[in-house]
Amino acid sequence: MRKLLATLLVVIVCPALFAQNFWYDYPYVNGQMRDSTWAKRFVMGEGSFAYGCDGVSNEFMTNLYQGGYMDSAFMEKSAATLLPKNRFGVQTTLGIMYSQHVKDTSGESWSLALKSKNNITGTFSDDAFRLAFQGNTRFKGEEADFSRTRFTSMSWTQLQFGYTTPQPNGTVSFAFSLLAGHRYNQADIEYGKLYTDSQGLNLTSSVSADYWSSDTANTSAFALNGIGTSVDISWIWWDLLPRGNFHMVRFDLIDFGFINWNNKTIHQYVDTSFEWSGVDVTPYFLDPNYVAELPEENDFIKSDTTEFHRSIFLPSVARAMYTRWFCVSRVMLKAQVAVPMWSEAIPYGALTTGWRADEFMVSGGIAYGGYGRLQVPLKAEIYALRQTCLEVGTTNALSLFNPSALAAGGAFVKFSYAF
Amino acid sequence: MKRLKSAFFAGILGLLFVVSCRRDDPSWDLDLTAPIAYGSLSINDILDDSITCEGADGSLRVCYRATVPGINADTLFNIPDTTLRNAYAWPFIPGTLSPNQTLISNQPTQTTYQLQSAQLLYGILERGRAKVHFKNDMMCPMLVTYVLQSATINNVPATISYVVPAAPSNTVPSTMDVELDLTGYEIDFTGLNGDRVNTLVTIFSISVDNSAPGSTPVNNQDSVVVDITFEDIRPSYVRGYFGSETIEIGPEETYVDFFSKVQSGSLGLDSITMTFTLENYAGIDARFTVNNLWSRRAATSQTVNLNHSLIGQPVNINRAAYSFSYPPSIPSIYSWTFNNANSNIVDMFEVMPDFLGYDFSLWTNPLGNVSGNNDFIYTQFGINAYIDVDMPVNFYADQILLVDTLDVDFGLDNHHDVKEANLKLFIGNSFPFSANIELYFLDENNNLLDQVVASPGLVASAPLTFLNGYYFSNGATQSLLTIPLNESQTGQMFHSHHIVMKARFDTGASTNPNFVKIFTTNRLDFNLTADFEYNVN
Repeated sequence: MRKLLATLLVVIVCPALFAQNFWYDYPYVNGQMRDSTWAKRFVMGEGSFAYGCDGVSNEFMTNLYQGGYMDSAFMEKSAATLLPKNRFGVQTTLGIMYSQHVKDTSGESWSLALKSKNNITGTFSDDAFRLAFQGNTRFKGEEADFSRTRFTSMSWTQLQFGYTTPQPNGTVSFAFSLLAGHRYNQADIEYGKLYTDSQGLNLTSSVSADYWSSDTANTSAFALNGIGTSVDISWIWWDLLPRGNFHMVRFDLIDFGFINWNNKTIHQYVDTSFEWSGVDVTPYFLDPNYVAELPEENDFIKSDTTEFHRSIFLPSVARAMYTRWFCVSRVMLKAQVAVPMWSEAIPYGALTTGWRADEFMVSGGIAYGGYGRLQVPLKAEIYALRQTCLEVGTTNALSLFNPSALAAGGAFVKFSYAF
Repeated sequence: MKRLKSAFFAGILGLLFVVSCRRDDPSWDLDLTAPIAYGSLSINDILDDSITCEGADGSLRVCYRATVPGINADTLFNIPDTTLRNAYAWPFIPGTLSPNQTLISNQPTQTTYQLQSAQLLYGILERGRAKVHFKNDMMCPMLVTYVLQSATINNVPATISYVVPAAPSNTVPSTMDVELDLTGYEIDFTGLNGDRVNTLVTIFSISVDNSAPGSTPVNNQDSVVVDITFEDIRPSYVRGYFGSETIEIGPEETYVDFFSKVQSGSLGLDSITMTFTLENYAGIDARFTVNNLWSRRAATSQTVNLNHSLIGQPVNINRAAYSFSYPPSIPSIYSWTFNNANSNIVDMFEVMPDFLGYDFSLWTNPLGNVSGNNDFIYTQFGINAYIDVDMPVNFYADQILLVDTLDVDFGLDNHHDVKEANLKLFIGNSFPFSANIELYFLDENNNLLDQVVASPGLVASAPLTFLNGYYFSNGATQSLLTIPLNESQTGQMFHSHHIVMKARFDTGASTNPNFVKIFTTNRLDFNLTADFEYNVN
């Protein structure tokens, strides 16, 4: 039975992190360690970052992040994998959590967690990428379409109160969070086209775009520019199987909520069509003092500086997971499907397998979706004295070994301590 | 356990390192295409509308008028600023003054101007003013009246009458300044008895003002002085005899700008007509001589004098007559035409002059005062002279080099981000001649920036039709000039403050010296675009 409980500890606590909220994000609700039957309190800490883009390679993302010169051949190679519509996302999280049983080590529990999150998401067309990274010369005689290009960046701090109650063969957890929004930027090009004449004689463009930003006068890392709430719900059911095995079904709703950015949020928009054929210098030949007028930014950018609130949904995930253990709960097979919301990502699916020994466990699998395409997550876990669990892993090992693979990568580390 | 904790913290630190480690900025090159400038150039854009006109067949002509300084009233006479002084000084023996006591009563004075040989009888002032300065040593207020008897308006003479305040002490006089506007006054220059010329009559009176407080002691040499200065006297009409004088007009040159942008080359002109016109609106006889007319091109120091029978031959100019309407006089008009047949006028203009020179002599009243002092002149209508040039733009050109300079300010502080560039000049030419285009970039001190000389490029002539002895275009050709600039040259371009454009036109004159005819519809349409590599950092 001790082995089984240890297995449950592994199953419920650690793999949940590995499972990601289509990457890795694990809901900090209490109870995940309740099967450490002797312990009444738990402390956890984690740090992680993850990124993904289904249109460009890891190598491109790495160069963009690390800096340095990217030549035209590299850009051409990077553009070769673009989709008509591409998505990207970057997420970082730092957090700590404390959890405690209410009465004894097998009953209901509560938790308190503090997390700092940064989220960058967006979509862009292949033409938008080529305009931004290769220029418009390649579009001579063609129309570059950069419509539906969107970029959203948010950072916030989350104070989460959780409650878990045991159910027959499972648990139900609920968490309520107060959110402090720090920074928010969003650029949304709903419609954007640029036609470059085949001989470069004129440029014709139509653009309809919006830009929002939280208070530009208050940009410190922990500036309070918005407040919000979110909820997390987790339902877990398991059942023992013959020969010391068991299986588990789990449903999660993660970070379902919003932030209401305050009335210092600014809005700018562009809704214009223009044609540029250069400066008309004909009058110059008659009047050497003639000064050609270039169009000014204000001629086509109308800034709406009215202060107003803007509410934004958090990037959320609904997830379903089934886990089956074999070989006296030494071998694991797991399938999960995650549906991201308000995050530009596509549904994420993963199949993973793992092997567990007494003091450690390794696991790996294949995944598809989210912000990337094919991904190979890997994770290692170490347990000690039934009190401690350390997990390290990557969301995509391909990023380490194959730079030309499509961009998806990340690393996470988590420490859990029961006492 | 310790090892686990160490691993944990190492992991956390490693994560923080990955997230927050210092990075370089990424950079890459963009291949950008952008239109830079465009324009449409016709002869009308090079030459001012005011000097071009259109022939009956739509062909272009240069119609230029150069005004030559003629003869006006200032040339014939000039009324200088003049100050007259009227004064009263108390005799040597001290005495007293009583209210209303008269010191000078209606004392007339005649002042005669020296106006060269002119003898003026009558005039109407277009403008002018009398500035009067009073000084009173007497310790009582004095009434000073100054009447400019010769200047009247509606038959009322100009009068200045003021009470000059009492001197505040024996040693400090009181002073006062007043001004009288003389605009519109009629001036009778004939004096008190109507028998003089150039003469003004003034009447001066001084008395003790009735506001004086009884008897006022007065000392030796106490005085009342009135200085009256006539300033800026400018008549609009004058009658009299303006003398018999020879007036030299010139030698002077007037600038003509229709060849100003031509730097070199040779030009063959089909025909040209120059007309010299003299309009005499003055009531004065004259004898006029054109001593010389010439053209000069400064750059080549070429001067061509006009050969024509008029040169050096005096011409009698009759006086104008009163019209009693507007203009107020009926002019005597004389004109002389110089053309291919009677002069070397074509030679004068084939040097592509930037100056036309003239040297005239005008002898006024060569027969003396035959009008009996009835010469007249309205100062706005003197003797006017001007030169009209009528030049059909039919020519042949051999390597005519037009140069124009554009001041530019690219306003790109980060021009270093622009690497290679490829400038493309698309030109549509409907002129009946070809052109070689060159671009030069100069710094703010007009120094040529090396290595930035654009490759000479040929703009092909429009398709030509030969009719009635002239070539003219019947369409347009399209040409593309490519100017590749390496990174260094691109930097030089963005450093430049002036772009010099040189266009070398050629009608094939060296092999086929036929004239081409230019129409107002002929144009050079151009678009300048750039393909350049821009580094994003």
